[in-house]
Amino acid sequence: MAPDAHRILKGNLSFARRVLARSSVGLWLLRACSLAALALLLSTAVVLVAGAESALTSVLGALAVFGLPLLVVAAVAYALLRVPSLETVAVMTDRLLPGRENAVISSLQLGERADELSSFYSRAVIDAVVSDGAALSQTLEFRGLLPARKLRFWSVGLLVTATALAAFLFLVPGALEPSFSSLVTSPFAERVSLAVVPGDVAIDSGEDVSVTVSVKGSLSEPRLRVSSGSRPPYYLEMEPADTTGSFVAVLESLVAQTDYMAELGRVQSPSYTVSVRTPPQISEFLISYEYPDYSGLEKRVVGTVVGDLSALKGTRVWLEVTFTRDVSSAGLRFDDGGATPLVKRGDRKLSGSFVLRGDGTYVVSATDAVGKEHLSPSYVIRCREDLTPFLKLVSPLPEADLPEDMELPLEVICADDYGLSSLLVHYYASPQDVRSENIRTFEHRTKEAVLTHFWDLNPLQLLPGEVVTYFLEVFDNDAVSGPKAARTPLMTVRFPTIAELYAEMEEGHAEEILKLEDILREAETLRAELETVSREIKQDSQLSWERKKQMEGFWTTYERMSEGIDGVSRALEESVRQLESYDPLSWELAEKIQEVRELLDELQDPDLRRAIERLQEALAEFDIPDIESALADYNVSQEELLKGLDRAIELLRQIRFDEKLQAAVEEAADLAEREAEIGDALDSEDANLSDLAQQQLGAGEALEQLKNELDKLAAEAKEANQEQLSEMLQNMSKSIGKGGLLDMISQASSMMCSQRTPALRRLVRNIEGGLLELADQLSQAQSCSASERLADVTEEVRRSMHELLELSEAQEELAMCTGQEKPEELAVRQHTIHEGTSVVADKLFETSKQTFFMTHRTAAELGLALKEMGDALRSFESGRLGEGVQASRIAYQGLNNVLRALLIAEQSMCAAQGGMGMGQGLRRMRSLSGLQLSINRTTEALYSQLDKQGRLSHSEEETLGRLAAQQEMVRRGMEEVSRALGDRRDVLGRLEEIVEEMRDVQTRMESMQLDQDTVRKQHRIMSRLLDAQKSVQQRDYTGKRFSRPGRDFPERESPPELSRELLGEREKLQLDILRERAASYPEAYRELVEQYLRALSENAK
Amino acid sequence: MRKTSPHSVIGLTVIILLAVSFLVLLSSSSSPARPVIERPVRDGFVVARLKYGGGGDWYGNKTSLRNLLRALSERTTVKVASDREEAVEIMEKEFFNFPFLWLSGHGNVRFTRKEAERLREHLTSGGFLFADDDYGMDKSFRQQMKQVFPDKELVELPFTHPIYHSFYELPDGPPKVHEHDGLPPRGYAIVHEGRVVVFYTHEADVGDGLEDPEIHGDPPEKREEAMKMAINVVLYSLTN
Repeated sequence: MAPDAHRILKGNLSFARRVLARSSVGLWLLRACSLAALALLLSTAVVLVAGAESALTSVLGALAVFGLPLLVVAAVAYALLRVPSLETVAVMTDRLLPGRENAVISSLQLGERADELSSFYSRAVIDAVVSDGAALSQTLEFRGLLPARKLRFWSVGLLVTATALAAFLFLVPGALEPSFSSLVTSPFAERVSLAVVPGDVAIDSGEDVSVTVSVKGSLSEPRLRVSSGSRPPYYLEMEPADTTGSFVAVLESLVAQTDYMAELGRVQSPSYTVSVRTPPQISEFLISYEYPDYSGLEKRVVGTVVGDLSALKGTRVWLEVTFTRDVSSAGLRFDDGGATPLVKRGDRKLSGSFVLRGDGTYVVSATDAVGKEHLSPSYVIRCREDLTPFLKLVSPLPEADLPEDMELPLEVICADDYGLSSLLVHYYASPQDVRSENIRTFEHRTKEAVLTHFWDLNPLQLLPGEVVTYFLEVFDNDAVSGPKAARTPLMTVRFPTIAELYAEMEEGHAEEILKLEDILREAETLRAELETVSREIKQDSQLSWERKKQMEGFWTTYERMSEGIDGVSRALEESVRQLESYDPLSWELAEKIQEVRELLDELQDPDLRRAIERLQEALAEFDIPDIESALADYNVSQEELLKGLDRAIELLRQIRFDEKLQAAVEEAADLAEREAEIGDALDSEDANLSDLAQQQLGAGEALEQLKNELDKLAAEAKEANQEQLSEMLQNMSKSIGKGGLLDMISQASSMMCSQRTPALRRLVRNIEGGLLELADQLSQAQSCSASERLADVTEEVRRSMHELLELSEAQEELAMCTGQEKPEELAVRQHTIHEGTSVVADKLFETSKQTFFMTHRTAAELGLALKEMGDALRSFESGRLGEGVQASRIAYQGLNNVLRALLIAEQSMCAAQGGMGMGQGLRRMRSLSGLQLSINRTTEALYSQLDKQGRLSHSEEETLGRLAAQQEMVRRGMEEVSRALGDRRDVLGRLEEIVEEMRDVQTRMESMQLDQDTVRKQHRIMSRLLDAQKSVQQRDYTGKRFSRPGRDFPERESPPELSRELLGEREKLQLDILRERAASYPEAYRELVEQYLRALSENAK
Repeated sequence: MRKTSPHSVIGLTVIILLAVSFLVLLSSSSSPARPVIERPVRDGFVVARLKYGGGGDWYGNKTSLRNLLRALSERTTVKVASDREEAVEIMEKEFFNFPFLWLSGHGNVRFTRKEAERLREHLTSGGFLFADDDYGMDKSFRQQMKQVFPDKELVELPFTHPIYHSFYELPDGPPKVHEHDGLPPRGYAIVHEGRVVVFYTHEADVGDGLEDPEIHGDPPEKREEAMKMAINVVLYSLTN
């Protein structure tokens, strides 16, 4: 046998067995590591999921840590114990030899048992098998015996687990630590000690605490575990301190109680507490506000946690502060440096007060028990100011005219936050003399007032044209800072001149004329529409739906017209009232306006309203015959309305013209007065010439305007065919214009720029005289205007009367017919009379527009007469003789009534013609008085010159001559007035005597006889003129008046008894007295009284 | 015991005097102003003719009041100061001295606001106004009465009213002296707390009936009726 082959075989098989053993050990190592890694992974996962405190964490960690060496040892031991025998290796090797099964094992076994088996097998065979086996073992790769797959599997497993673990640790560092903490905490750790300084400590809020931990028995670094309030515990790393084994960490800015402990591995120190002391804080403010007395505000107490203050200036603020801890003292510190100590009311309660003066801030300073000062947050002080009062003047407007009663109504609204004290008006007519008047002193704490105060300007004795500037001022009741005031802007109130009144009235009437013209147009449109409707009905005997709708709107149109007429009537009534108040001499004009107003009132004919109502009813029923009849009635009434409106418009136009003329008269008189004032100022030495020059220029401008107005009036008069009046006005305008008054004024104004001279004074007086003459001429023009109009109208009325008389005679004949005449003939005659009467009626209507003497009733009578004539005509035409004669008789009576009315009107017009009304007479006298005053003044001045000089200069003689001419003019004017007033002149006193005195003075002046007597006579003339005017105010006349004794009314019933309410108070008092007295009466009487009183009260029920 | 020094006494006296003066001043300033009466009170009954604005002839019926006063003196026990009438304006200081006022006229009656207030004050404090329409003042008078008494109306008095029976029996009410508009005569009144303070005759013309006979030429019976009415009004005003 080849022992070498067997040895080789055994050596190779041993080698293979070693390889197997090593691989087995490696495999088991891989398994052990994988399991350990897995265990760690699991532990980490558990830590992440269940938390570090989970028991499983420790178990897994222990497994991972302790299990690993055990596993390794176990793995090696196991591997070594499981080393396979050579035969097993040989079997395993045989597997590597496909097709040579059992070759190696056979070789081995044969080699092992060669001696034994030599009996059975040959040595050569055995040697060959063994050699073969050895040769095979030489060629084998024993790596094929390794459990490569298992090795790969576990390698991959270890790789994956390790990677996962690494990833975990990367993502969650420290995740392994809890797994090992139980390993760290070992019995050996009990010998580590931790000493913590400072331990339990109390600090102030916000302070830091430095914690020092001294470690004995370990070189490791401890850490602090800190927990505070609701915050989760956290760890604080410690830094090595200066000394060995000491570590320090700082708990910073602690504001709340904090617990901490040192930890080193499993060793913990006791838990210590850092107590934080809070400063004394304010838990509550109790604030009392005591407001200033004037404000009327009640004391207010407020409990709050915020110490902001807000109150009215001057309020005393009481503060009671409650702290969260005991304090030894406290006080208030203000931003302006001031301070107020607080008085202790308790350990934690202090109080104090101060007065609010302004905005600012304050803090509460508190000293605690240890003497440390604590400041509260800053609180705001808001000081409310008492506001300025509110003042508004609702009425009048900033530029107002003074009412006729000289009382200006001031409608005022004023208000204040805490109360008003007084309301004043400050005013002046000249800026140097400002006055004040208390309008109202308000009651205690009146906060708002709406009042109307009638400011009486009578004491100022204003003249027309004067202006008062004023403003209102209201004060509040601020007793802390002093009353505040509010003022209105400057306003003016003016005493209007009568000229302005007339101008304003004329403008107002112009508007009323326009309104009436609109109403007239509307009425005419309505008439046209109704005529169309009437035609349609006649043609078609039906009414279209559109037409019906249109007619339904007639009522609205009528109402509108009626309201319009009412409005104009009210406006006219107001004009009358104003006229009577401002110009008592205007009663003639007032009467005219009143008559127009009454005419308008008469136009509101109930028949017209009834006709419209009937029409509406007929439309509603759609009854054609009824509609026709209603339309016919309406047409009749409507004609009256149209004519009346037309007349009213014309009369108002006349009135307007008269007003313009009156305004011109007043304006001229005003200008004369202004000129007189300038003259008076020139006579006094201290007047400012430049001011006078300005005034003179102003007068010139006003005169220029008056001239323009006169031109317009002249044109209007010419249009109205009042030639004489137009000429007069044109002449007056010329006298003002070139070479006239305007030039004189301009010259005077220039002279005033230099110095005052006698020539200047004379010029100004001449201008005054010229203006007075102008005013007088305008008064004459007024009379002329009235006369001219009246003359034309009177003539017209006479002609109409004459015609009507003839017609009346013819109607009388018709009415007296015997019945034998043929109806056709009667119809013809009646038709002729009717036509003639219609013509006269139209003429009278036109005439009535020019005069107030024609009344509405006259027109109505004439209308009725015409209607009766129409009825008579129809009756005659249809053969009804009896009815015709009856109607013609009524028509005749109607004509006679008209004739009577026309006669009265004609007589009145004749009486007025050439005469003048009392008002006109007075006005004329007034203007003549003004002229006389001017003459007197100039005469006196001349006389004083004569007295000084002994004689008059040439120019002065010329002046005297001119004065004589003016005196003659005044005399003639007075004669005119006396003549024109006729019988009524007695009212003015003895005018003839005045005229004679004037004649005497005139003669003296013409003969240059200027002496004391002349001057005295002139004074007498003046005073008589004034007396004459005054006497009219008193109507001091006697004499018989005519009146008719009244007819008795014996059948009249008594008016009803007065109500108990009206007599209630008095009766109650009487009953009370009775009751009281009854107590002292005897029993029987008392009973009677009681019964009486009971009966009375039952009656009352 | 300390003696009181003269200085203390003087000082105290001055203080007391000042205090009294102050109180007097306060009391005088707080009382409402009333017109200062300058004329002495008349020794007897007086009728005052009321002067009013508006342009109406307040001065008419010149002989009426003289005749009335004479008749009062002759027929009644009323002590009449004289037969001379007085004329007074509402804003005059002496206005309140005349408890009985007469108002008549043909034209416009007008009171200013202040006059209306003052007239109201007078009438509600015991005064009396007898107004007679001379023909033409009706409308304006009614308007003015509305201003004086905005809260009251002129009510027609029944014939049973004491004013028609205060001295003479006038069972048919006021007389019809002159025709005017041919309407029945009416007596209207403003009643304040049960007392007539204004009596107004319309369509009666009592004033004309009181005039001298030659002025209107009225029949004696008409004049007598007017006089009876006027005397009744005076007696009523004095006894109510």
